[in-house]
Amino acid sequence: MTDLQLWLSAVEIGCFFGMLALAYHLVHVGAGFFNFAIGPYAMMGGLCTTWLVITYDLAVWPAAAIAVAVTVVLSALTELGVVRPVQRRSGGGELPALVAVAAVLFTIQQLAGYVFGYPTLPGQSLATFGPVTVGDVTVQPTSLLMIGVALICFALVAVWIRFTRTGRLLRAVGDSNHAAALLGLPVNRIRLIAFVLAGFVAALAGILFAPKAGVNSLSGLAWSLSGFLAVVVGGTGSVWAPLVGGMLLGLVEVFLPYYFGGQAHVYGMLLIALLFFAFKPQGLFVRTVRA
Amino acid sequence: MAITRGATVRLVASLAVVALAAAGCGGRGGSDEPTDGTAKGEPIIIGMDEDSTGPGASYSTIAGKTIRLAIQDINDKGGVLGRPLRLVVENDESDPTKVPAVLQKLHSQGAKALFLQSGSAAVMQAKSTLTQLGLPAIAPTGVTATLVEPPDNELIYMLANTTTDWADVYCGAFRAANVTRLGILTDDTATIAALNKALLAGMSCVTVVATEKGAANASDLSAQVARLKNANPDAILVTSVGGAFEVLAQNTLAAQMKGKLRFSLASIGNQPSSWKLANPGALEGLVFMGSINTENPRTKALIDFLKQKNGDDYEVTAYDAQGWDSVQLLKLAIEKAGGPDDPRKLNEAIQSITGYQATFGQPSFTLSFSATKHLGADGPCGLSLIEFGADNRPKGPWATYQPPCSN
Repeated sequence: MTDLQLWLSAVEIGCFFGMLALAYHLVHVGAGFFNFAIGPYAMMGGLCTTWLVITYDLAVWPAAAIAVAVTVVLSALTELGVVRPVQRRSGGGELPALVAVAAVLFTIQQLAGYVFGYPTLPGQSLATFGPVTVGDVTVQPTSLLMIGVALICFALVAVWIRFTRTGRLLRAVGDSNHAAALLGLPVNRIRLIAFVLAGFVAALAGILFAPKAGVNSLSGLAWSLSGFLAVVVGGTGSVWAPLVGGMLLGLVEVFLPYYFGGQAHVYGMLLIALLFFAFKPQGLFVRTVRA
Repeated sequence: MAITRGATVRLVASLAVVALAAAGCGGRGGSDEPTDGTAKGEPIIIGMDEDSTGPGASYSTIAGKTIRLAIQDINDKGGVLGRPLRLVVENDESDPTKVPAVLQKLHSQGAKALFLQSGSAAVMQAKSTLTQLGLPAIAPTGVTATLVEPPDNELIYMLANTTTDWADVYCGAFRAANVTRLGILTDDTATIAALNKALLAGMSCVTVVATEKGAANASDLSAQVARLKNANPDAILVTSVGGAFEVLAQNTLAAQMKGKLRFSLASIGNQPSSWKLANPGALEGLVFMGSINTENPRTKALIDFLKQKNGDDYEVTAYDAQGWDSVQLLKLAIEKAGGPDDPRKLNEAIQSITGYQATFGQPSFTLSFSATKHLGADGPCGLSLIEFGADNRPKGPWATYQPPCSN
């Protein structure tokens, strides 16, 4: 495990999974709900950006801004048009909303395939500088961006949740919708903010990760599953917990194939999923409440 | 307020349903299909099984697009025996389990002959169905020799040199470059598994010191490349269907094994859209199995035609040329048979084609068929080893070695 190039790959992938998990975490904290459409949001961010650049010759930053906006709107529509009405009709039940969001996942993928086509498109790098060589390690600009932006995102979200009024409201609403509503807190607005922020983080993750191996309309499902596993492993006890979960999965993704060959990471992910679901479903970091 | 909000929600839900229905109606198919042009008679239905969404989409859609242009060109010039060619298309997603149903559907739509533009694992599965249906078929971009070998090979044809010839060319290249230890980085598709089996069987000229496999949709191959590096090969051969996997492989190899001689199959060299995926300079020095040689006048004519249709920045690939030639060969066969309606006569007509001057390969390269020769290539002149330049574009023939062409 002394190959630093492998550590760089693991950290990069870990940051991507971590950002997806952070998006899950935001919706979970703010709405008490697992939004499985996070993966397609990320896919939409990456795919829309690259499609705009390739098809309309748009510069990458305006294309990325449009892609983020589209994704944020999709995320908001998920809450307004799917989750909220379904939960209202089912008396606040979680299962019907989860099923509805799973349908949203596939709908977004199909729409993306229809609009952008099915072949894999190259991701667009937001960086304008070249690769950096540090000893034996080549650091691609996209890797630096992924890691840097992930850390900044987590730090900003941590500060926001802890020190701002809206962040505190987010935690209150997530703890108990019902109690928050009785106290007159703006539950619906906070839920919407959670979804919008999650969409923003997911879109950013997709844009930053797409240059690594391209993006296509079917990327969303795998990314949804990876992000969900990262949040399960990390837990919801801290804003940084999803990043820890993502890093663990990043290590599995890179080092298991190194030591055991080809597809060992698939079995490793499966084993981790089974172990955590069976023995530690609350994840590594659990929120403790003082009585 | 509540009513307005409810109406908004209903509107959003309705839009979502409409969007879902639109998506469910499939892609943007129909607008690219050839018209009858100036040909007036009863259409001759040609079926195409085109993988436009599966693992073979990166190369199938290139050939598929040129097949459509070739048919349109024929129809614009009066068709075949005065009759227009009409294309019906289905998609097996290179999934062998879907092939029989897809071919049955094409047959039920009246197809007289087929183009099998899909992964070779799927094409293999098609052979027995073709025998059942009695339909002759051409696999324009097939390269696996077993596709045209018994059993069930009476009705299937390929154009280009197969992996047997590729193995001879690679061995010549390895000898010229003093490569005795080879590392292989491969994807996990059924198509490449079959190709590897055929290709490596003919490459006893080197010792394969490591074979590493990654998922076709992998997002990281650094572990596999690190293991290859540990095996200390003289050169690396990447075998994949191309697309995102191939580019990720080349990006990772360029970063972690700088300066190591790299070879690839035909895929990446014939997928210009993949070149943009690569990191700057990542493809420099990569040697791939190519077939586009601008000294071939027919290649040049095809390049001019396709640039006129697709724009000046269109990069012509072997897939374009093979797609084009497949259509011309079928046209020739229909004319020789006097019509498409007797599949036996049509099949015999294909087998009677000799010395067809191809639009790919070296200038003297031809395609010929017979009852016992279902692979069109007349010799190795259909192949060249092409090298990528620092701009991630093919720069020309590899100076170290080229397959001999005695014509």
